[in-house]
Amino acid sequence: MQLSSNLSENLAAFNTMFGPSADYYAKQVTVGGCPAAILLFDGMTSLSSLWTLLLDSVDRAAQFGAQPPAGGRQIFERLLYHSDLPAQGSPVGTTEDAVRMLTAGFALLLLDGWEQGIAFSVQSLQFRSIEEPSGEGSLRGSREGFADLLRVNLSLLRRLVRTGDLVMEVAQADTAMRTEYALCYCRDKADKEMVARVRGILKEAKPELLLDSSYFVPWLLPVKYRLFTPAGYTERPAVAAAKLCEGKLVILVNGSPSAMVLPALFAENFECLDDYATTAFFSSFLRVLKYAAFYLTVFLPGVFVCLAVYLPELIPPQLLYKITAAEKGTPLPLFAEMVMVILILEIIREAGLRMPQSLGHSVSLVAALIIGDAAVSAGLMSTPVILTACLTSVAVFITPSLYEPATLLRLAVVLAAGLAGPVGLAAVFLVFWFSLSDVSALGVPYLASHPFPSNPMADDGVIRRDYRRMSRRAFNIWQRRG
Amino acid sequence: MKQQAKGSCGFSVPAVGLGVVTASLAGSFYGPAGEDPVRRVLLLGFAEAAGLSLAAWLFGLWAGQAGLFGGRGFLPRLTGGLFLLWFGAEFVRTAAAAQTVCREEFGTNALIAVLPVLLAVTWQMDTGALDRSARGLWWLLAIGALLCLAGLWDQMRWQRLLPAEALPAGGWPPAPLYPEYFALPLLCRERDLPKGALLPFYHYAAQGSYALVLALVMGQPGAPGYAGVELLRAWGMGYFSRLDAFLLLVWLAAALWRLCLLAFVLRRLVRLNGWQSVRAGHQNKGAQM
Repeated sequence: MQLSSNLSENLAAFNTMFGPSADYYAKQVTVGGCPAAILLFDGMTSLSSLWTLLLDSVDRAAQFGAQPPAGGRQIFERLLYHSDLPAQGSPVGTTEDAVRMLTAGFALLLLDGWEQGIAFSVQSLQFRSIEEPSGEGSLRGSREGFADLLRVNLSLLRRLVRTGDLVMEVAQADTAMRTEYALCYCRDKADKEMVARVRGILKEAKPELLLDSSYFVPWLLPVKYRLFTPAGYTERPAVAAAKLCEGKLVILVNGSPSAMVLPALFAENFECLDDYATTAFFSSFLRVLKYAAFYLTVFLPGVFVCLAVYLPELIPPQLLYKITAAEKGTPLPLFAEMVMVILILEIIREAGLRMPQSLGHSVSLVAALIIGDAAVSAGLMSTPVILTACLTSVAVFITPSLYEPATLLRLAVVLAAGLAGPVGLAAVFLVFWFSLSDVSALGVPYLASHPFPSNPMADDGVIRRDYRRMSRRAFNIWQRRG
Repeated sequence: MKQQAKGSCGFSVPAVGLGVVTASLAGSFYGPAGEDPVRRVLLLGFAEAAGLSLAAWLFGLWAGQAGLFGGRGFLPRLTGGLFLLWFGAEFVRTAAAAQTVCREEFGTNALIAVLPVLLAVTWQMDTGALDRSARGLWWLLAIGALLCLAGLWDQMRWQRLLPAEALPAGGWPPAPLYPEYFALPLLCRERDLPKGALLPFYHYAAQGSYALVLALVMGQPGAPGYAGVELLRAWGMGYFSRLDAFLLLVWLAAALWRLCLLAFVLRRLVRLNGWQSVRAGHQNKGAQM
């Protein structure tokens, strides 16, 4: 709605909207003899900045007084175009614009007799300080993590990518809260067609609420069922900047420190900042370990059930005796036991994550006693089953970004192996493999194709080459398009 | 820009080759062990593979030019029908081989329940997804083969390649004809046709290697009814034995993959021949494609 040239009408309209709110502040003043009003939200605007601004206006009173009394339009033009006040370059013409500026921490000056307002940059938004993200640990490299405010996050990115190539487009999503989001990319590295497509999808998306960049996934990657999502997330500006330099798109949402990276590769779940700070040999060794841990967490319980129940002859005799002896004392079949332990471990994990931190230690202690000792002593579960399930539960934390698919797949593998034996195991392995290879984003397959045996390994995949050698050929994600 | 002929599935040669190797291994597992002397398999098998390669290449060239897979008219429809039958028969043959392995080695008929589920999962999958999944199976087969060689290493004796008796009289080693050899314009991208013509060598490599290792480990088994799968059973490494089950599981996964590939090709043939209309309709794919 267009602002009125009548100050009282404008104030009445804003009063209707924000009047009952405790943080809404409207003060009528006179500027150069013209009635005016300053609007702002308490706590989002710096009162000291506003005070300085007012003092500056007082200083100019003589300048204004020396001139003949002017209407709202003249005052508006003097303030906006002929003063050093920190005003936004473009005037505020509509109520929607005014609300957008006010909720971004600006102070709004409305003048009687003119239907446009001036927004002053006196923001003072309180936000969580820039800390190291707890979920993405690293030994070397930047310790900075994204904060919750979009503008702060954009500045963190701008500080790292100091070229004119970086574009950060900010827009408001079509949601109930009109949340701001940013689409960031490097102009010369990102695929222009794909940038336009993502921009269009984000513009058309209508999430009811937008509290994190992941809320956009159903619009960006619509599909009924999917185990793996070809989008990456990071809370580290350094990682986001590196991805931007690879031609990827980064989506940030106001109020969330989590940046979505599109498109993502499966191999990236096994990479971290430290990989490039250590020797190629050691980081390759760690990556092989991570891959092994991931496959272990998905398949070990199922393989254990399959071998112990259907193919015991594959287990070395000494180990088989121990398993058989342990199983003799338990009332449940091995398959049911394994499912039960996995579910109990998931419940404990979820409880530990959601409960107050002060209670976390007690729950861990109780859980350790129940799982580790009481269940075995009571003869409800056998030690080999608990050992296997615990090992897989720990191994999954090596690749936290794959936690969701790994957990679901682990259960599926145990069920398939328990119900259909080796055939079920082979089938569920294929389903796992198909669900990995059937996923793609922006035309880039999640599993990049490296035909076996002619080109079986990527330069920076399961193992990585020397960084100096890799740097000779800059990697761009759009080389991987299928 | 990838060259892809109209109607072509667009698989890579290694992906199609995986299917051929899988079918070839099934023949080696349940064929009579050492029926053909290894020298004959290696020498005559090479000549057979070369001949089949040449035939596949020539047929592929002619089929591409004549538009046999994707054109309109009597000849393309006839070709489509014939290949539909051939691929259908191959599907049944592979399913039967997989069922034999399941029943005889694992004592289960679960394949009957599992196969429809797998086919349903892959129903909407595109060529690229099947193609990329072939890479993982190639790796598994390679690892399985290396493990197998490691476990058999100390049982191999090169003297067994040179039996004292003269070679028994016999003909050419069996060279099964797979429909993949002659459906290259349908299966592969146009630029891959020359490489695709080498598919018979995939069969030769699998059959020849298996026969060679079998001969090195067992020589020329005289007893009739001695199946090739005995080679896998000979595997042993310290406390671990019965690796044949693991290798057969890997083979089973590859066989199930081949069945999915064959089902995909059958669907494509049905659609190309106009027996099934392509459902028109806009599907929102977002930023996936």
